[in-house]
Amino acid sequence: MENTRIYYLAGQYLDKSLSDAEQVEFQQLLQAPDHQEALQAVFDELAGELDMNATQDEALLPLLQRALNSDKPARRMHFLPRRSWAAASIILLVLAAGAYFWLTHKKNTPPAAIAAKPTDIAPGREGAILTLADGSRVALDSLHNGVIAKQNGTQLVLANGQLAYDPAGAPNGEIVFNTMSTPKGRQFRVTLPDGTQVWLNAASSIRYPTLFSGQERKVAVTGEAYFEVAKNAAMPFRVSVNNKAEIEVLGTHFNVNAYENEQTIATTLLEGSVRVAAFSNGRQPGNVVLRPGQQAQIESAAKTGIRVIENANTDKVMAWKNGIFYFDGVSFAEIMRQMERWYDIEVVYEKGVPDIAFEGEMTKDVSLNGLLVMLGRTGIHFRLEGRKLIVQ
Amino acid sequence: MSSNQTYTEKELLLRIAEGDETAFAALFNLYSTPLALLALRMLHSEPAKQEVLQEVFIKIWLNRDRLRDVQLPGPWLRKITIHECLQYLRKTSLYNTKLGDLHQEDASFNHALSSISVKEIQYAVKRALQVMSPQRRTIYELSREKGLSTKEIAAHLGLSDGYVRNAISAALQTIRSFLPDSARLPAIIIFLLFFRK
Repeated sequence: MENTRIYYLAGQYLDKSLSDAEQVEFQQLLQAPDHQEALQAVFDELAGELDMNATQDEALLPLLQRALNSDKPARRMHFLPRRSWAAASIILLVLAAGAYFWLTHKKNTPPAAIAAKPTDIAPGREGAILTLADGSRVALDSLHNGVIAKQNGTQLVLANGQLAYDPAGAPNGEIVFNTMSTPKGRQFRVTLPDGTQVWLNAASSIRYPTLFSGQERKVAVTGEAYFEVAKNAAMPFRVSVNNKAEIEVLGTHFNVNAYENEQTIATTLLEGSVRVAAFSNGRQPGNVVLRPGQQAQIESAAKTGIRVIENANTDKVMAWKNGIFYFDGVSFAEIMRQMERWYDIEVVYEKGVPDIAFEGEMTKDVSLNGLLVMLGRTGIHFRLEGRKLIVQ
Repeated sequence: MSSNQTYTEKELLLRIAEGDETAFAALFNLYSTPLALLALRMLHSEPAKQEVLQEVFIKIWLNRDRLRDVQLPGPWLRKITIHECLQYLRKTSLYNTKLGDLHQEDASFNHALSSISVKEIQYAVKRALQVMSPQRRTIYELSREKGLSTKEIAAHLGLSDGYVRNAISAALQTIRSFLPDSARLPAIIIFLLFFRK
Protein backbone atom coordinates (compact mmCIF):
# COMPACT_ATOMS: atom_id res chain seq x y z
CA MET A 1 0.00 0.00 0.00
CA GLU A 2 1.23 3.46 -0.81
CA ASN A 3 2.19 5.77 1.99
CA THR A 4 -0.30 8.42 0.87
CA ARG A 5 -3.09 5.84 1.23
CA ILE A 6 -1.91 4.87 4.74
CA TYR A 7 -1.77 8.56 5.58
CA TYR A 8 -5.30 9.08 4.29
CA LEU A 9 -6.78 6.05 6.12
CA ALA A 10 -5.08 6.97 9.40
CA GLY A 11 -6.43 10.51 9.13
CA GLN A 12 -9.96 9.29 8.42
CA TYR A 13 -9.70 6.84 11.33
CA LEU A 14 -8.66 9.56 13.77
CA ASP A 15 -11.57 11.72 12.56
CA LYS A 16 -13.91 8.72 12.95
CA SER A 17 -14.96 9.20 9.34
CA LEU A 18 -13.91 5.93 7.69
CA SER A 19 -16.52 4.58 5.27
CA ASP A 20 -17.46 0.90 5.63
CA ALA A 21 -15.15 -0.08 2.79
CA GLU A 22 -12.32 2.03 4.22
CA GLN A 23 -12.94 0.44 7.62
CA VAL A 24 -12.21 -2.98 6.11
CA GLU A 25 -9.13 -1.58 4.37
CA PHE A 26 -7.90 -0.04 7.61
CA GLN A 27 -8.35 -3.35 9.48
CA GLN A 28 -6.29 -5.11 6.80
CA LEU A 29 -3.65 -2.42 7.06
CA LEU A 30 -3.44 -2.91 10.84
CA GLN A 31 -2.84 -6.62 10.35
CA ALA A 32 -0.29 -6.33 7.55
CA PRO A 33 3.09 -7.06 9.17
CA ASP A 34 5.13 -5.02 6.68
CA HIS A 35 3.20 -1.79 7.31
CA GLN A 36 3.76 -1.60 11.08
CA GLU A 37 6.63 0.86 10.88
CA ALA A 38 4.80 3.03 8.37
CA LEU A 39 1.74 3.10 10.62
CA GLN A 40 3.84 4.12 13.61
CA ALA A 41 5.41 6.92 11.59
CA VAL A 42 2.09 8.15 10.19
CA PHE A 43 0.33 8.18 13.58
CA ASP A 44 3.44 9.82 15.07
CA GLU A 45 2.76 12.65 12.69
CA LEU A 46 -1.04 12.74 12.88
CA ALA A 47 -1.81 11.96 16.53
CA GLY A 48 -1.14 15.47 17.72
CA GLU A 49 1.13 16.84 20.42
CA LEU A 50 0.77 15.95 24.10
CA ASP A 51 -1.50 18.40 25.90
CA MET A 52 0.69 19.15 28.91
CA ASN A 53 -1.86 21.58 30.40
CA ALA A 54 -4.78 19.13 30.59
CA THR A 55 -6.55 18.83 33.94
CA GLN A 56 -5.34 15.81 35.87
CA ASP A 57 -7.49 12.73 35.23
CA GLU A 58 -7.97 11.30 38.73
CA ALA A 59 -9.39 8.05 37.32
CA LEU A 60 -5.87 7.16 36.16
CA LEU A 61 -4.30 7.10 39.64
CA PRO A 62 -4.97 3.40 40.37
CA LEU A 63 -2.80 2.59 37.35
CA LEU A 64 0.22 4.05 39.13
CA GLN A 65 -0.19 1.82 42.18
CA ARG A 66 -0.71 -1.26 40.01
CA ALA A 67 2.42 -0.50 37.99
CA LEU A 68 4.51 -0.02 41.15
CA ASN A 69 3.18 -3.21 42.72
CA SER A 70 3.64 -5.28 39.59
CA ASP A 71 7.18 -6.42 40.40
CA LYS A 72 6.96 -6.71 44.17
CA PRO A 73 7.57 -10.25 45.37
CA ALA A 74 4.48 -11.84 46.95
CA ARG A 75 4.44 -12.39 50.71
CA ARG A 76 4.58 -16.03 51.67
CA MET A 77 1.74 -17.85 53.37
CA HIS A 78 2.65 -20.96 55.24
CA PHE A 79 2.76 -23.72 52.70
CA LEU A 80 1.09 -27.03 53.41
CA PRO A 81 1.95 -30.05 51.29
CA ARG A 82 -1.07 -31.35 49.43
CA ARG A 83 -1.25 -34.67 51.22
CA SER A 84 -1.25 -33.31 54.74
CA TRP A 85 -4.91 -33.96 55.23
CA ALA A 86 -4.50 -35.50 58.65
CA ALA A 87 -5.62 -33.14 61.35
CA ALA A 88 -2.59 -34.04 63.44
CA SER A 89 -0.10 -32.79 60.92
CA ILE A 90 -2.04 -29.56 60.50
CA ILE A 91 -2.16 -28.90 64.20
CA LEU A 92 1.57 -29.53 64.26
CA LEU A 93 2.16 -27.05 61.47
CA VAL A 94 -0.04 -24.46 63.09
CA LEU A 95 1.86 -24.93 66.35
CA ALA A 96 5.14 -24.74 64.53
CA ALA A 97 4.03 -21.57 62.80
CA GLY A 98 2.98 -20.11 66.14
CA ALA A 99 6.25 -21.09 67.76
CA TYR A 100 8.20 -19.69 64.85
CA PHE A 101 6.36 -16.43 65.14
CA TRP A 102 6.88 -16.34 68.89
CA LEU A 103 10.60 -17.00 68.63
CA THR A 104 11.34 -14.65 65.76
CA HIS A 105 9.02 -11.77 66.61
CA LYS A 106 9.23 -11.77 70.40
CA LYS A 107 10.06 -8.08 70.50
CA ASN A 108 7.23 -7.07 68.22
CA THR A 109 3.64 -6.96 69.38
CA PRO A 110 2.10 -10.39 68.97
CA PRO A 111 -0.90 -10.47 66.66
CA ALA A 112 -4.00 -9.44 68.56
CA ALA A 113 -6.00 -12.38 67.27
CA ILE A 114 -3.86 -14.94 69.08
CA ALA A 115 -3.40 -13.05 72.28
CA ALA A 116 -6.92 -11.79 72.74
CA LYS A 117 -9.05 -14.62 71.41
CA PRO A 118 -9.29 -17.92 73.23
CA THR A 119 -12.35 -18.95 71.18
CA ASP A 120 -11.98 -20.46 67.76
CA ILE A 121 -14.17 -20.85 64.70
CA ALA A 122 -14.25 -24.28 63.09
CA PRO A 123 -13.70 -24.63 59.37
CA GLY A 124 -16.55 -25.47 57.04
CA ARG A 125 -17.55 -29.07 56.31
CA GLU A 126 -19.81 -31.24 54.17
CA GLY A 127 -23.47 -30.32 54.34
CA ALA A 128 -26.37 -28.77 52.46
CA ILE A 129 -30.05 -27.98 52.59
CA LEU A 130 -32.30 -29.76 50.14
CA THR A 131 -35.57 -28.06 49.22
CA LEU A 132 -38.05 -30.58 47.85
CA ALA A 133 -40.74 -29.91 45.28
CA ASP A 134 -43.36 -29.37 47.98
CA GLY A 135 -41.20 -26.71 49.63
CA SER A 136 -40.13 -28.88 52.56
CA ARG A 137 -36.49 -28.56 53.56
CA VAL A 138 -34.12 -31.32 54.63
CA ALA A 139 -30.81 -30.54 56.32
CA LEU A 140 -28.47 -33.10 54.83
CA ASP A 141 -25.59 -32.85 57.28
CA SER A 142 -27.62 -34.17 60.20
CA LEU A 143 -28.85 -37.31 58.43
CA HIS A 144 -27.39 -40.79 58.27
CA ASN A 145 -26.72 -42.73 55.10
CA GLY A 146 -29.71 -44.28 53.37
CA VAL A 147 -32.92 -43.31 51.58
CA ILE A 148 -33.94 -39.93 52.92
CA ALA A 149 -36.98 -39.09 50.81
CA LYS A 150 -39.20 -40.25 47.97
CA GLN A 151 -40.83 -38.00 45.43
CA ASN A 152 -42.83 -39.16 42.43
CA GLY A 153 -41.25 -42.57 42.63
CA THR A 154 -37.67 -41.29 42.70
CA GLN A 155 -35.63 -42.27 45.73
CA LEU A 156 -33.15 -39.85 47.25
CA VAL A 157 -30.18 -41.75 48.63
CA LEU A 158 -27.63 -40.15 50.95
CA ALA A 159 -24.23 -41.84 51.17
CA ASN A 160 -21.06 -40.48 52.75
CA GLY A 161 -21.76 -36.79 52.36
CA GLN A 162 -23.28 -36.96 48.89
CA LEU A 163 -26.77 -37.29 47.52
CA ALA A 164 -27.86 -39.41 44.58
CA TYR A 165 -31.17 -39.83 42.76
CA ASP A 166 -32.37 -43.32 42.01
CA PRO A 167 -35.21 -43.18 39.48
CA ALA A 168 -35.92 -46.91 40.01
CA GLY A 169 -39.55 -46.35 40.95
CA ALA A 170 -40.68 -45.80 37.32
CA PRO A 171 -41.79 -42.17 37.41
CA ASN A 172 -44.88 -41.25 35.47
CA GLY A 173 -45.94 -38.06 37.19
CA GLU A 174 -45.05 -34.50 36.33
CA ILE A 175 -41.48 -33.23 36.50
CA VAL A 176 -40.68 -31.78 39.90
CA PHE A 177 -37.76 -29.56 40.84
CA ASN A 178 -35.41 -29.77 43.79
CA THR A 179 -33.00 -27.12 45.00
CA MET A 180 -29.80 -28.02 46.76
CA SER A 181 -28.22 -25.12 48.59
CA THR A 182 -25.18 -24.79 50.78
CA PRO A 183 -24.97 -22.11 53.46
CA LYS A 184 -21.66 -20.44 54.31
CA GLY A 185 -19.31 -22.97 55.85
CA ARG A 186 -20.68 -26.00 53.95
CA GLN A 187 -19.93 -27.66 50.66
CA PHE A 188 -21.67 -30.64 49.13
CA ARG A 189 -21.68 -33.10 46.26
CA VAL A 190 -24.79 -34.27 44.46
CA THR A 191 -25.31 -36.82 41.69
CA LEU A 192 -28.14 -35.69 39.42
CA PRO A 193 -30.69 -38.16 37.96
CA ASP A 194 -28.69 -38.41 34.69
CA GLY A 195 -25.48 -39.35 36.51
CA THR A 196 -23.97 -35.85 36.27
CA GLN A 197 -21.90 -35.05 39.33
CA VAL A 198 -22.01 -31.59 40.85
CA TRP A 199 -19.80 -30.23 43.60
CA LEU A 200 -21.29 -27.17 45.30
CA ASN A 201 -18.99 -24.70 47.02
CA ALA A 202 -20.13 -22.78 50.11
CA ALA A 203 -22.98 -20.26 49.75
CA SER A 204 -24.15 -21.77 46.46
CA SER A 205 -27.19 -23.51 45.03
CA ILE A 206 -28.39 -25.64 42.16
CA ARG A 207 -31.99 -26.14 40.98
CA TYR A 208 -32.71 -29.23 38.89
CA PRO A 209 -35.57 -31.57 37.94
CA THR A 210 -35.64 -34.93 39.72
CA LEU A 211 -35.88 -36.51 36.28
CA PHE A 212 -34.54 -35.18 32.99
CA SER A 213 -36.85 -35.58 30.03
CA GLY A 214 -37.43 -33.87 26.70
CA GLN A 215 -34.83 -32.23 24.46
CA GLU A 216 -32.40 -30.89 27.04
CA ARG A 217 -31.20 -31.12 30.61
CA LYS A 218 -31.57 -27.73 32.23
CA VAL A 219 -30.33 -26.62 35.66
CA ALA A 220 -29.72 -23.26 37.32
CA VAL A 221 -26.84 -22.38 39.65
CA THR A 222 -25.75 -19.55 41.91
CA GLY A 223 -22.42 -19.21 43.70
CA GLU A 224 -19.76 -21.70 42.61
CA ALA A 225 -20.08 -25.24 41.29
CA TYR A 226 -17.95 -27.82 39.51
CA PHE A 227 -19.68 -30.12 37.01
CA GLU A 228 -18.79 -33.49 35.60
CA VAL A 229 -21.59 -33.82 33.09
CA ALA A 230 -22.68 -37.30 32.01
CA LYS A 231 -22.35 -37.65 28.24
CA ASN A 232 -25.61 -37.58 26.30
CA ALA A 233 -25.29 -35.82 22.95
CA ALA A 234 -29.03 -36.22 22.30
CA MET A 235 -29.86 -34.14 25.37
CA PRO A 236 -27.60 -31.10 25.72
CA PHE A 237 -26.97 -30.01 29.29
CA ARG A 238 -27.67 -26.32 29.95
CA VAL A 239 -26.62 -24.37 33.01
CA SER A 240 -28.29 -21.05 33.61
CA VAL A 241 -26.12 -18.75 35.75
CA ASN A 242 -27.76 -15.90 37.70
CA ASN A 243 -29.90 -15.24 34.59
CA LYS A 244 -26.80 -13.50 33.20
CA ALA A 245 -25.13 -16.36 31.39
CA GLU A 246 -25.88 -19.78 30.02
CA ILE A 247 -23.47 -22.65 29.51
CA GLU A 248 -24.31 -25.31 26.94
CA VAL A 249 -22.61 -28.65 27.38
CA LEU A 250 -22.41 -31.97 25.60
CA GLY A 251 -20.49 -33.96 28.22
CA THR A 252 -17.61 -32.36 29.97
CA HIS A 253 -15.88 -31.12 33.12
CA PHE A 254 -16.06 -27.45 34.02
CA ASN A 255 -16.27 -25.04 36.93
CA VAL A 256 -18.47 -21.99 37.15
CA ASN A 257 -17.86 -19.23 39.71
CA ALA A 258 -20.77 -16.79 39.84
CA TYR A 259 -20.75 -15.37 43.34
CA GLU A 260 -22.65 -12.10 43.33
CA ASN A 261 -19.81 -10.37 45.18
CA GLU A 262 -17.13 -11.39 42.67
CA GLN A 263 -16.58 -9.16 39.67
CA THR A 264 -17.04 -11.75 36.98
CA ILE A 265 -18.91 -14.93 36.21
CA ALA A 266 -15.98 -17.21 35.40
CA THR A 267 -16.51 -20.47 33.52
CA THR A 268 -13.40 -22.65 33.34
CA LEU A 269 -13.28 -25.69 31.11
CA LEU A 270 -11.17 -28.72 32.12
CA GLU A 271 -12.36 -31.30 29.60
CA GLY A 272 -14.57 -31.41 26.53
CA SER A 273 -16.28 -28.36 25.09
CA VAL A 274 -18.85 -25.83 26.25
CA ARG A 275 -20.50 -22.78 24.73
CA VAL A 276 -20.88 -19.84 27.09
CA ALA A 277 -23.45 -17.18 26.32
CA ALA A 278 -23.88 -13.90 28.16
CA PHE A 279 -27.28 -12.32 28.71
CA SER A 280 -28.08 -8.73 29.43
CA ASN A 281 -31.69 -7.57 29.67
CA GLY A 282 -32.82 -10.46 27.54
CA ARG A 283 -30.27 -9.56 24.88
CA GLN A 284 -27.37 -11.85 24.11
CA PRO A 285 -24.29 -9.65 23.66
CA GLY A 286 -22.05 -12.56 22.78
CA ASN A 287 -21.13 -16.18 23.09
CA VAL A 288 -17.91 -18.17 22.85
CA VAL A 289 -16.94 -21.80 22.55
CA LEU A 290 -14.26 -22.76 25.08
CA ARG A 291 -11.38 -25.17 24.66
CA PRO A 292 -9.99 -27.07 27.68
CA GLY A 293 -7.81 -24.77 29.80
CA GLN A 294 -9.66 -21.64 28.74
CA GLN A 295 -11.76 -19.48 31.03
CA ALA A 296 -14.65 -17.26 29.93
CA GLN A 297 -15.23 -14.20 32.09
CA ILE A 298 -18.45 -12.24 31.99
CA GLU A 299 -18.45 -8.96 33.86
CA SER A 300 -21.22 -8.82 36.44
CA ALA A 301 -21.96 -5.32 35.19
CA ALA A 302 -22.89 -7.03 31.88
CA LYS A 303 -22.71 -5.11 28.59
CA THR A 304 -18.98 -5.70 28.23
CA GLY A 305 -19.41 -9.14 26.70
CA ILE A 306 -17.17 -12.13 27.23
CA ARG A 307 -13.44 -12.14 27.83
CA VAL A 308 -11.56 -15.37 27.16
CA ILE A 309 -8.46 -16.15 29.20
CA GLU A 310 -6.07 -18.64 27.61
CA ASN A 311 -4.27 -21.10 29.89
CA ALA A 312 -6.38 -20.37 32.95
CA ASN A 313 -4.81 -21.52 36.20
CA THR A 314 -6.92 -24.65 36.72
CA ASP A 315 -5.13 -25.54 39.97
CA LYS A 316 -6.40 -22.29 41.37
CA VAL A 317 -9.91 -22.72 39.96
CA MET A 318 -10.25 -26.28 41.27
CA ALA A 319 -8.58 -25.70 44.64
CA TRP A 320 -11.89 -25.37 46.50
CA LYS A 321 -13.13 -28.74 45.27
CA ASN A 322 -9.82 -30.34 46.25
CA GLY A 323 -10.12 -28.99 49.79
CA ILE A 324 -7.49 -26.30 49.39
CA PHE A 325 -7.20 -22.53 49.61
CA TYR A 326 -5.00 -21.30 46.80
CA PHE A 327 -3.23 -17.99 47.31
CA ASP A 328 -0.89 -17.47 44.32
CA GLY A 329 -2.00 -14.48 42.34
CA VAL A 330 -5.24 -14.09 44.30
CA SER A 331 -5.99 -10.63 45.65
CA PHE A 332 -6.26 -10.07 49.39
CA ALA A 333 -9.92 -9.07 49.03
CA GLU A 334 -10.75 -12.24 47.11
CA ILE A 335 -8.99 -14.44 49.70
CA MET A 336 -11.02 -12.73 52.40
CA ARG A 337 -14.27 -13.30 50.49
CA GLN A 338 -13.39 -17.02 50.34
CA MET A 339 -12.74 -16.98 54.10
CA GLU A 340 -16.11 -15.31 54.69
CA ARG A 341 -17.85 -18.13 52.85
CA TRP A 342 -15.89 -20.96 54.44
CA TYR A 343 -15.73 -19.79 58.05
CA ASP A 344 -19.08 -17.97 57.97
CA ILE A 345 -17.46 -14.77 59.14
CA GLU A 346 -17.64 -11.15 58.06
CA VAL A 347 -14.44 -9.34 57.17
CA VAL A 348 -14.26 -5.62 57.93
CA TYR A 349 -11.43 -3.34 56.82
CA GLU A 350 -10.53 -0.51 59.17
CA LYS A 351 -8.12 1.20 56.81
CA GLY A 352 -9.09 -0.06 53.39
CA VAL A 353 -8.06 -3.32 51.76
CA PRO A 354 -4.30 -3.98 52.10
CA ASP A 355 -2.74 -4.10 48.66
CA ILE A 356 -0.58 -7.20 49.11
CA ALA A 357 -0.20 -10.55 47.46
CA PHE A 358 0.38 -13.98 48.96
CA GLU A 359 1.69 -17.22 47.65
CA GLY A 360 1.28 -20.83 48.74
CA GLU A 361 -1.75 -22.88 49.62
CA MET A 362 -3.51 -24.20 52.68
CA THR A 363 -5.88 -27.06 53.35
CA LYS A 364 -9.43 -25.99 54.11
CA ASP A 365 -9.77 -28.09 57.28
CA VAL A 366 -7.76 -25.64 59.37
CA SER A 367 -9.67 -23.76 62.05
CA LEU A 368 -9.89 -20.00 61.75
CA ASN A 369 -7.24 -19.51 64.46
CA GLY A 370 -4.84 -21.62 62.42
CA LEU A 371 -5.38 -19.33 59.51
CA LEU A 372 -4.97 -16.22 61.62
CA VAL A 373 -1.63 -17.44 62.94
CA MET A 374 -0.38 -17.73 59.38
CA LEU A 375 -1.81 -14.39 58.36
CA GLY A 376 -0.18 -12.83 61.42
CA ARG A 377 3.20 -14.09 60.28
CA THR A 378 2.92 -12.03 57.12
CA GLY A 379 2.65 -8.87 59.22
CA ILE A 380 -1.06 -8.15 58.94
CA HIS A 381 -2.84 -7.12 62.10
CA PHE A 382 -6.43 -8.00 62.86
CA ARG A 383 -8.78 -8.89 65.66
CA LEU A 384 -11.78 -11.13 65.95
CA GLU A 385 -15.05 -9.87 67.49
CA GLY A 386 -17.62 -12.65 67.46
CA ARG A 387 -17.80 -13.70 63.83
CA LYS A 388 -16.42 -10.41 62.62
CA LEU A 389 -12.77 -10.34 61.53
CA ILE A 390 -11.44 -6.81 61.62
CA VAL A 391 -8.37 -6.11 59.48
CA GLN A 392 -6.44 -3.25 61.08
CA MET B 1 10.13 23.14 27.18
CA SER B 2 12.76 25.14 29.04
CA SER B 3 16.21 23.68 29.43
CA ASN B 4 15.75 23.79 33.18
CA GLN B 5 12.70 21.55 32.99
CA THR B 6 14.46 19.19 30.63
CA TYR B 7 17.29 18.87 33.07
CA THR B 8 14.81 18.05 35.85
CA GLU B 9 13.08 15.43 33.71
CA LYS B 10 16.39 13.83 32.86
CA GLU B 11 17.09 13.63 36.59
CA LEU B 12 13.68 12.09 37.11
CA LEU B 13 14.53 9.34 34.63
CA LEU B 14 17.83 8.63 36.37
CA ARG B 15 16.07 8.36 39.72
CA ILE B 16 13.45 6.01 38.26
CA ALA B 17 16.28 3.91 36.84
CA GLU B 18 17.51 3.61 40.44
CA GLY B 19 14.10 2.22 41.45
CA ASP B 20 12.83 5.44 43.09
CA GLU B 21 9.03 5.08 43.36
CA THR B 22 8.39 8.75 44.09
CA ALA B 23 10.25 9.74 40.93
CA PHE B 24 8.08 7.30 38.98
CA ALA B 25 4.97 8.81 40.58
CA ALA B 26 6.19 12.27 39.54
CA LEU B 27 6.64 11.12 35.95
CA PHE B 28 3.20 9.52 36.09
CA ASN B 29 1.57 12.70 37.41
CA LEU B 30 3.26 14.72 34.70
CA TYR B 31 2.43 12.52 31.72
CA SER B 32 -0.47 10.14 32.48
CA THR B 33 -3.23 12.62 31.58
CA PRO B 34 -1.67 13.92 28.33
CA LEU B 35 -0.90 10.32 27.28
CA ALA B 36 -4.43 9.24 28.19
CA LEU B 37 -5.86 11.95 25.92
CA LEU B 38 -3.60 10.76 23.13
CA ALA B 39 -4.65 7.14 23.69
CA LEU B 40 -8.34 8.10 23.69
CA ARG B 41 -7.86 9.94 20.39
CA MET B 42 -6.33 6.78 18.94
CA LEU B 43 -8.62 4.17 20.45
CA HIS B 44 -12.03 5.91 20.60
CA SER B 45 -12.81 3.94 23.77
CA GLU B 46 -12.45 4.70 27.50
CA PRO B 47 -11.82 1.12 28.72
CA ALA B 48 -9.31 0.53 25.92
CA LYS B 49 -7.56 3.77 26.87
CA GLN B 50 -7.23 2.65 30.50
CA GLU B 51 -5.94 -0.75 29.47
CA VAL B 52 -3.30 0.61 27.10
CA LEU B 53 -2.14 3.24 29.56
CA GLN B 54 -1.79 0.60 32.26
CA GLU B 55 0.41 -1.41 29.91
CA VAL B 56 2.52 1.60 29.00
CA PHE B 57 3.33 2.43 32.61
CA ILE B 58 3.87 -1.19 33.67
CA LYS B 59 6.28 -1.67 30.79
CA ILE B 60 8.18 1.51 31.60
CA TRP B 61 8.48 0.43 35.22
CA LEU B 62 9.63 -3.08 34.31
CA ASN B 63 12.22 -1.57 31.96
CA ARG B 64 13.31 1.17 34.36
CA ASP B 65 16.95 0.10 34.34
CA ARG B 66 17.06 1.12 30.68
CA LEU B 67 15.77 4.66 31.25
CA ARG B 68 19.29 6.02 31.73
CA ASP B 69 19.59 6.08 27.94
CA VAL B 70 16.48 8.19 27.36
CA GLN B 71 17.10 11.92 26.98
CA LEU B 72 13.61 13.45 26.66
CA PRO B 73 10.77 11.53 28.29
CA GLY B 74 7.95 13.38 26.46
CA PRO B 75 8.59 12.33 22.84
CA TRP B 76 9.64 8.86 23.99
CA LEU B 77 6.48 8.28 26.05
CA ARG B 78 4.40 9.58 23.17
CA LYS B 79 6.03 7.06 20.79
CA ILE B 80 5.53 4.16 23.19
CA THR B 81 1.88 5.09 23.71
CA ILE B 82 1.23 5.29 19.97
CA HIS B 83 2.96 1.95 19.53
CA GLU B 84 0.88 0.30 22.28
CA CYS B 85 -2.33 1.81 20.85
CA LEU B 86 -1.51 0.35 17.44
CA GLN B 87 -0.80 -3.02 19.06
CA TYR B 88 -4.16 -2.85 20.77
CA LEU B 89 -5.99 -1.93 17.57
CA ARG B 90 -4.20 -4.71 15.76
CA LYS B 91 -5.17 -7.30 18.38
CA THR B 92 -8.81 -6.13 18.44
CA SER B 93 -8.93 -6.22 14.67
CA LEU B 94 -7.46 -9.72 14.52
CA TYR B 95 -9.85 -10.97 17.15
CA ASN B 96 -12.86 -9.45 15.43
CA THR B 97 -11.82 -10.99 12.11
CA LYS B 98 -11.60 -14.41 13.72
CA LEU B 99 -14.97 -13.96 15.37
CA GLY B 100 -16.43 -12.88 12.05
CA ASP B 101 -15.33 -16.20 10.62
CA LEU B 102 -17.32 -17.95 13.31
CA HIS B 103 -20.40 -15.89 12.42
CA GLN B 104 -20.47 -14.29 15.81
CA GLU B 105 -22.98 -11.56 16.41
CA ASP B 106 -21.99 -8.28 17.90
CA ALA B 107 -18.33 -9.16 17.91
CA SER B 108 -17.28 -5.78 19.21
CA PHE B 109 -18.54 -6.77 22.63
CA ASN B 110 -16.11 -9.63 22.82
CA HIS B 111 -12.58 -8.74 23.55
CA ALA B 112 -10.39 -11.67 24.33
CA LEU B 113 -7.36 -9.45 24.40
CA SER B 114 -6.31 -10.77 27.79
CA SER B 115 -3.77 -8.05 28.24
CA ILE B 116 -1.03 -8.71 30.72
CA SER B 117 -2.23 -8.49 34.31
CA VAL B 118 -0.38 -7.45 37.44
CA LYS B 119 -1.04 -10.93 38.80
CA GLU B 120 0.72 -12.54 35.84
CA ILE B 121 3.71 -10.26 36.34
CA GLN B 122 3.84 -11.04 40.05
CA TYR B 123 3.81 -14.71 39.17
CA ALA B 124 6.71 -14.12 36.75
CA VAL B 125 8.57 -12.25 39.52
CA LYS B 126 8.07 -15.19 41.84
CA ARG B 127 9.40 -17.69 39.32
CA ALA B 128 12.31 -15.43 38.36
CA LEU B 129 13.30 -15.05 42.03
CA GLN B 130 13.42 -18.83 42.34
CA VAL B 131 16.10 -19.15 39.68
CA MET B 132 18.26 -16.18 40.78
CA SER B 133 21.42 -16.57 42.81
CA PRO B 134 20.76 -15.96 46.52
CA GLN B 135 22.75 -12.71 46.50
CA ARG B 136 20.92 -11.29 43.50
CA ARG B 137 17.62 -12.28 45.07
CA THR B 138 18.58 -10.56 48.32
CA ILE B 139 19.54 -7.40 46.47
CA TYR B 140 16.27 -7.39 44.52
CA GLU B 141 14.18 -7.99 47.63
CA LEU B 142 15.96 -5.20 49.51
CA SER B 143 15.18 -2.92 46.58
CA ARG B 144 11.54 -3.85 46.04
CA GLU B 145 10.32 -5.17 49.38
CA LYS B 146 12.22 -2.91 51.73
CA GLY B 147 12.37 -0.01 49.28
CA LEU B 148 16.09 0.60 49.83
CA SER B 149 18.07 2.70 47.34
CA THR B 150 21.05 1.35 45.41
CA LYS B 151 23.41 3.17 47.77
CA GLU B 152 21.71 1.84 50.90
CA ILE B 153 21.82 -1.71 49.59
CA ALA B 154 25.49 -1.31 48.66
CA ALA B 155 26.32 -0.02 52.13
CA HIS B 156 24.21 -2.71 53.81
CA LEU B 157 25.87 -5.58 51.94
CA GLY B 158 29.36 -4.07 51.65
CA LEU B 159 29.25 -3.98 47.86
CA SER B 160 29.92 -1.23 45.34
CA ASP B 161 27.05 0.90 43.95
CA GLY B 162 27.82 -0.28 40.44
CA TYR B 163 27.67 -3.92 41.47
CA VAL B 164 24.24 -3.46 43.08
CA ARG B 165 22.97 -1.48 40.08
CA ASN B 166 24.09 -4.25 37.70
CA ALA B 167 22.57 -6.92 39.94
CA ILE B 168 19.16 -5.16 39.94
CA SER B 169 19.36 -4.69 36.20
CA ALA B 170 20.19 -8.39 35.77
CA ALA B 171 17.31 -9.29 38.11
CA LEU B 172 14.90 -7.21 36.02
CA GLN B 173 16.26 -8.87 32.89
CA THR B 174 15.52 -12.28 34.41
CA ILE B 175 12.00 -11.16 35.35
CA ARG B 176 11.38 -9.86 31.84
CA SER B 177 12.51 -13.18 30.40
CA PHE B 178 9.73 -14.88 32.41
CA LEU B 179 7.04 -12.56 31.10
CA PRO B 180 4.84 -13.50 28.16
CA ASP B 181 5.80 -11.69 24.95
CA SER B 182 2.85 -9.34 25.30
CA ALA B 183 4.33 -7.84 28.48
CA ARG B 184 7.69 -6.97 26.99
CA LEU B 185 8.70 -3.66 25.59
CA PRO B 186 9.18 -4.55 21.93
CA ALA B 187 12.52 -4.26 20.20
CA ILE B 188 11.41 -1.29 18.17
CA ILE B 189 10.79 0.71 21.34
CA ILE B 190 14.13 -0.28 22.78
CA PHE B 191 15.53 0.86 19.48
CA LEU B 192 13.76 4.20 19.92
CA LEU B 193 15.60 4.63 23.18
CA PHE B 194 18.85 5.06 21.35
CA PHE B 195 17.76 6.71 18.12
CA ARG B 196 15.45 9.34 19.48
CA LYS B 197 14.71 12.54 17.67
